[in-house]
Amino acid sequence: MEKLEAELREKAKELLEKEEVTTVIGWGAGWNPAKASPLFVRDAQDADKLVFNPFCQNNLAVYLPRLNEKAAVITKPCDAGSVVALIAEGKIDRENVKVISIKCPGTVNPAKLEAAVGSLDDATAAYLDGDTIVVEVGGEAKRVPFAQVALDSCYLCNQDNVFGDVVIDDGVTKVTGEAVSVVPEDADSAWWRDFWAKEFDRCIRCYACREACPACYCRDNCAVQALRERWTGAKLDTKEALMFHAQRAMHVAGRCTECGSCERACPVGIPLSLLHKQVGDAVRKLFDFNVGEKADVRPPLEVFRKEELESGH
Amino acid sequence: MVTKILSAGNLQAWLDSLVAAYQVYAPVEGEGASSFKKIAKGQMPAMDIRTDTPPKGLIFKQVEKILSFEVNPDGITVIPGDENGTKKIVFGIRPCDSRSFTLTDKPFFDPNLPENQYMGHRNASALVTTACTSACRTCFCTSIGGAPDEKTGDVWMMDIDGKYLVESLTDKGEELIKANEGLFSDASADDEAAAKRIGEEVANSMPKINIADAKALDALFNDDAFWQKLTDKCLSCGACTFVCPTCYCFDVRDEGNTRKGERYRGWDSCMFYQYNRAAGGHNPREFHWKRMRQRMLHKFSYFPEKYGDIDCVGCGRCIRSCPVSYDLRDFLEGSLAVTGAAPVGFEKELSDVDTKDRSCEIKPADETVKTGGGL
Amino acid sequence: MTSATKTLVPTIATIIEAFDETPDVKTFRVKIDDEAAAAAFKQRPGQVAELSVFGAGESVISITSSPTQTEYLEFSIKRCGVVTDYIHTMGAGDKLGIRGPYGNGFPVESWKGKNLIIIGGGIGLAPVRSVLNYAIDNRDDFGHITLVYGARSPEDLVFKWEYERWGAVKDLDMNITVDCGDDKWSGKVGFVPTILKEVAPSPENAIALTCGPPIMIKFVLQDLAEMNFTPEQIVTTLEGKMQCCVGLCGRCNIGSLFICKDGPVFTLAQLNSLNGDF
Repeated sequence: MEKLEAELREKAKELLEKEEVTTVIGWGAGWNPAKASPLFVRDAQDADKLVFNPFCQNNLAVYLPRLNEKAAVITKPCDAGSVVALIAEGKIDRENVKVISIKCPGTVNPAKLEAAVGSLDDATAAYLDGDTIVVEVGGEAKRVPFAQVALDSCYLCNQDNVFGDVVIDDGVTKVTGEAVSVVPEDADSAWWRDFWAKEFDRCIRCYACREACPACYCRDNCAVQALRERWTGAKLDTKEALMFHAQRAMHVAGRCTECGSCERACPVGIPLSLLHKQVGDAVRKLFDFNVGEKADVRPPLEVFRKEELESGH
Repeated sequence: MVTKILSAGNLQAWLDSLVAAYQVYAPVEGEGASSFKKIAKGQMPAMDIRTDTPPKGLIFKQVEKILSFEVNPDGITVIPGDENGTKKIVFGIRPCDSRSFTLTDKPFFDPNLPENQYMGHRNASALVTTACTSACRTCFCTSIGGAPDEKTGDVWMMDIDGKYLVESLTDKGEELIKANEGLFSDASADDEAAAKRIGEEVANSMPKINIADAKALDALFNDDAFWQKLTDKCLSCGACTFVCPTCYCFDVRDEGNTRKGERYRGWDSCMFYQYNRAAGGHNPREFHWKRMRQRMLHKFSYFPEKYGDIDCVGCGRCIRSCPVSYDLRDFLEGSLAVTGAAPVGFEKELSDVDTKDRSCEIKPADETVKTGGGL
Repeated sequence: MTSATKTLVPTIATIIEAFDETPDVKTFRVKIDDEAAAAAFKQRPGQVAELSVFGAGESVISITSSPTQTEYLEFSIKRCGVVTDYIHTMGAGDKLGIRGPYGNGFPVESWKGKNLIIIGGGIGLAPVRSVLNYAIDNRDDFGHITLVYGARSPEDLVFKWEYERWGAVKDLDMNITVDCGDDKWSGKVGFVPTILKEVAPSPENAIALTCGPPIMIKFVLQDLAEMNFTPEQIVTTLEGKMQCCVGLCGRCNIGSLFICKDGPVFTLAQLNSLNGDF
């Protein structure tokens, strides 16, 4: 991990010194050792502030459609998928963006980690030690197998063909494990209704999920805050929250890489990944399409083929 | 005013007695997030947690009906929304959250133009504040003029080694103790000394951040590079403002159609792109760094300039809830370094607004059922 | 104040007359239904009202009629959003919500004996028209009046029906201009700042009021400075930024001021001392 971090800093320094980019977007230390925070490095001297560890949760592809400068972005394989999807949608000025990809060991799911070791608020250190995540709180080192606390999406991650202008591969072993956030096999529409009614009941409509999502780049045209046509009401209730999240899920269908950024951004812990997984499954089944795989194929719901009509889809 | 001792064993009995007479809201653990919820008889609140969402919405509701209207043959009938508020007790509120209401009172209790619905809910509520006996690493109340044992609200209590020192701060608060006098015993000077000692210990355990004064911060306004750098990673969502106990920006929207419907006042966020967009499309705060600048300066420069106090209570929720782990303290420290201004500290205490007796007495719950309302 | 105890609840008013000014501006004459509320609604020139269409929302509109007009309130509204679009579909007999008046208004009492230079562009004439008509109705209280008003084209000029009356007022120098004329236009052609320079009003004992599109304001301010007007003599209104009108919703916050309570009328000297996103 240290070697990977060193390579990363070196690459960032080089790009900035050669003035190939004006900023390198990576992760730096957060206020809490178990929370890395996005970092925009604009000065080669600051490249040493870049970190890489299993707590680098943010999908930095989210910044790319908003940029107006030459930038390098550091991506995990899942985030690289978002970059590919954005290129496919024509939302990234390819000339101005350099993608530094890292083959990573996986990322910690903070909710799982908190469930395992308790609140991370007072952690004084947090790191990966072999295949174990260690969190130090009040002088005590709490240890938990990484396999138990990684993001569900890490278990499914395929790092064979990682997209990137530069791919940093140190041969780290990727975490393996079983997804825990799964829908019961016998889940019917009533199950979904009850499940989301309970979860969306606490949505505060802060739109952190939307803003953390690389596929949500509509800004003032977003259907829920547009000046004229708004598709959600003023009231704050489960129905309106469901309306918002359902719309968002449908709008990102076929464009969502299921990176889980929305879920981790949620201040009230709504398991949004499950919603996007369900929509993603439908897209895969209907269109035989994997988001983030090919940069030259438009998303399936953005194009219309005559045979789709004929096949009844 | 009275100062009493409540044994830990009598806490449930006191709560039950309050629950029998009032709607009582208290910190409750929940799936995904903890918050203030209405508690039932026999339910012990999570007294040791700091809730993920603030109790703000109990008084400054996230969505409040301003009016309902209906067109009829004689014209339009307009029925104003609830302005009396539902009588309730907010129990186990921390001093920072309790302080937040005294801050929001300042603009909303404007003597010339009070906001009657906020005022209604505020007057109908009693705050039972629980002092903090430990600090989180995101806490910084001592830096903005508060304290972990600040005496705000109607009743103030502190866990002093397995029992509670309970003090009434207002007549309304005294009523809550007097009605249950049998549960309390007399407090000694030792008890009060113990509470004072704990408060000091907690305060001393918290790093103190120096904050540049309002004028020095306002002078930073034109330093675009400072704000741009500060805002680089901000996603421009509303998480910080919605978990903030003092943010009070709102929007007014209509529901229904032009024959029958309602008008609502709902929380808005100055961090949203849409917030400042005017009809016709002009947006004076088009860039996220301008919105960040507005949020920071409103809290730490404009509001103190106008009302004498910083509009932040140092609860740290914005830090914990931020999707990109933006740390407000970076702004405070960074701005101090850039302005080079001598920190002012906070000599000014909160005004006496909170100790004023409110016009509206708390009424037992059976009466509130008839007047309706609720969250 | 129409509803001091119900801050955000409007009272009902009826449109008694509505007519087109331009293809996208319509003037509405409005009367508050409740007699007591109508009597309590006492505005100063330059104040605004929060108009609402129940079911569509609220919009802040300047009261363009002078307080000397006590029969009705006049609002000239440009179609540019959800609420104003809806209002444009309304006519005589239709009901609106109204709350206010809000804001500080123009300090007309302190301008007694002064010359007034009123500079407007497009719909920006509406807020300052309240002062113009107030000064006309109290003609002896003020000195010379200069009006410089322009719009993109002849059909975009507002209050054309007032020009004849204004032209007949003594000591009133009326300069109406358009950016682009047409076959029928025989008046001045040129941007407002250009015409202002031609007119070259003296800053002596004068107050310059200006309201219009930002680009016009920018040049007007430069030109007034060249003519030796001091920032204290230049007055403008920023009511376009207001939303809730009661100093709470946060949108019109500039420095420690709220435009809706501390403004919308400011002197250039005041604005120069404020940091704000304009």
